[in-house]
Amino acid sequence: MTRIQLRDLVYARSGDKGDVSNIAVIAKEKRYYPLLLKYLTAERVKAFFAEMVKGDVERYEVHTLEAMNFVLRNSLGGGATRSLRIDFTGKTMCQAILRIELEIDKADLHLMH
Amino acid sequence: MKTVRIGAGSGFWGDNLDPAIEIAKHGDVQYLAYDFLGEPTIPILQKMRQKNPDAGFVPAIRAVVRGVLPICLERGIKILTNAGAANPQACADSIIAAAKEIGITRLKVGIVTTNNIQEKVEELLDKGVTFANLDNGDDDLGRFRDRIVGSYVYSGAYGYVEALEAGCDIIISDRATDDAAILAPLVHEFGWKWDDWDKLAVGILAGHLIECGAACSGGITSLWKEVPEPWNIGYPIAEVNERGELFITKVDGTGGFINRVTLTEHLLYEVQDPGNYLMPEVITDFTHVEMEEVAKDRVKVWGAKGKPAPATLKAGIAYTDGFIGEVESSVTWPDAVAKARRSFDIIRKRFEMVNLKADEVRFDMVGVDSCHWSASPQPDEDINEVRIRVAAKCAERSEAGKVARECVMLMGTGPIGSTGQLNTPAPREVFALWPTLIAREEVTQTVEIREIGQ
Repeated sequence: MTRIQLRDLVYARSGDKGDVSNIAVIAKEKRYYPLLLKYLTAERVKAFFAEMVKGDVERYEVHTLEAMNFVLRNSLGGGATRSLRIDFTGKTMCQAILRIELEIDKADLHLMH
Repeated sequence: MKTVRIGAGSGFWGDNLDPAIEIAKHGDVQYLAYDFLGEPTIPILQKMRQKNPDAGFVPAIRAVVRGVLPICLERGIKILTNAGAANPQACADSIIAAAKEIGITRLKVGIVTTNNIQEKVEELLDKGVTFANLDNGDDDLGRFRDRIVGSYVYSGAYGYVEALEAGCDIIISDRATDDAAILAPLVHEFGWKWDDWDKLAVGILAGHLIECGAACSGGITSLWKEVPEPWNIGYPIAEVNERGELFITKVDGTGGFINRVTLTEHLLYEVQDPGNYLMPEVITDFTHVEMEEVAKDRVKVWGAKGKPAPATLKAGIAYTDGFIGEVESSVTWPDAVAKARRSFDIIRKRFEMVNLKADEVRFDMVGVDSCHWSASPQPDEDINEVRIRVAAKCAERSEAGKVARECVMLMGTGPIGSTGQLNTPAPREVFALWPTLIAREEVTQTVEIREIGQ
């Protein structure tokens, strides 16, 4: 098992629409993308944010750009105008996600090469 | 080969308006598109209009008239913007007055207005339309009906195109989408049909990439450490040729940069399903988009596919939703984190004692966990200072007022080293936004033209 922090693998950017936060995750190098597809699941992201995300998390993929988009529902305290969150638009969700540590099976490290 | 270049003038109300001057002078563009509106902006402006019938538009448009319009008129650059917001007529009055003040003698202003969506929502509610909430599926808008302050709809590029065809120099809309101001010139110039889905998708791709100004050319990027001259970021320009090829670029010599990372970050910015990006004119599939850096700060982008326009348009219904009371103060080393927690215990007890009626209460340690909550790491107990922040959302203003009152007492009753609270901030009123859909046949746009010098 090898632990790799997402910070070393991706760029990320988040934004908001209503009570939905979305986080775009972009592989820093093409070769990281298969690892992300396997390990950075919607469930992993939902578990990481825990109490911050009251609704479902969906993952969409843009393979041509080695990118994925996580859509986090009911995650901004009701939306920017009524949220009690300091980060009421979730602009920093993309920075929080970089703390995720993926636990990668040795057998999968070849995916990076 | 015919090429059309459109510059982004602004990404939000309050954005820097100077980069557009650079674009007008040196960007070789035929159009400038200014977006001023975020999700909460229209209800705020509707409220301002209720107090003052001459208000309700984005006053920054006057700075555009003074700083950019003369250059545009000289060079034939057309301006498209949603600055009209909740009061496009007053916006046009303001543009004309400001233009006259600086000696402009000929000007054609196009005003694109949608029908009264608030009246339409009322009418449809009476007929039993439920307006399900897009965020959570809630279909009982009726319980907030007496608290609705205003409604708006995101409308398409159709009115802009009509006004361009009438030869307008500056076109304002109430709430055409941000992308529409970039799509419209392309439809107008290339004669695209409203069912040329793949072509319209190129226009939406162009619009989506540049409408937020600096956000695709070096602003809020993961590559922030490497951005050249971020104090002078050049705003993006979309260039489309008659073959439908799209390039994103900026004025040489400005700060910022445009590359595969900044554009990919922005391609997915505030998008949900990238396979179905819904706009009034076309549904666009971004999932096959490709990019190539063909020169410095010049990226070719292709691969968007279009699907027929949706049967519904997105609408927002704003209603009053109580009050937020909020207050901050600081505690310092030694034991700053422990002091912050002790302060929270005191405040919780005080809230109980004064019987605070709140829907939700938050206790944040700024510097520790205020942005990322439980996703934050364990705090460093030896940290030098923590700013504590307490906020509560209450149905009644008087209840929200208790928050600051009870917290101010910490200056006298809290742990030693409590400081940094200047006053007792007043509660603020809250607007909630109910995002929903409305059948597109319920929405109409009208175009009116007003002129100086006719």
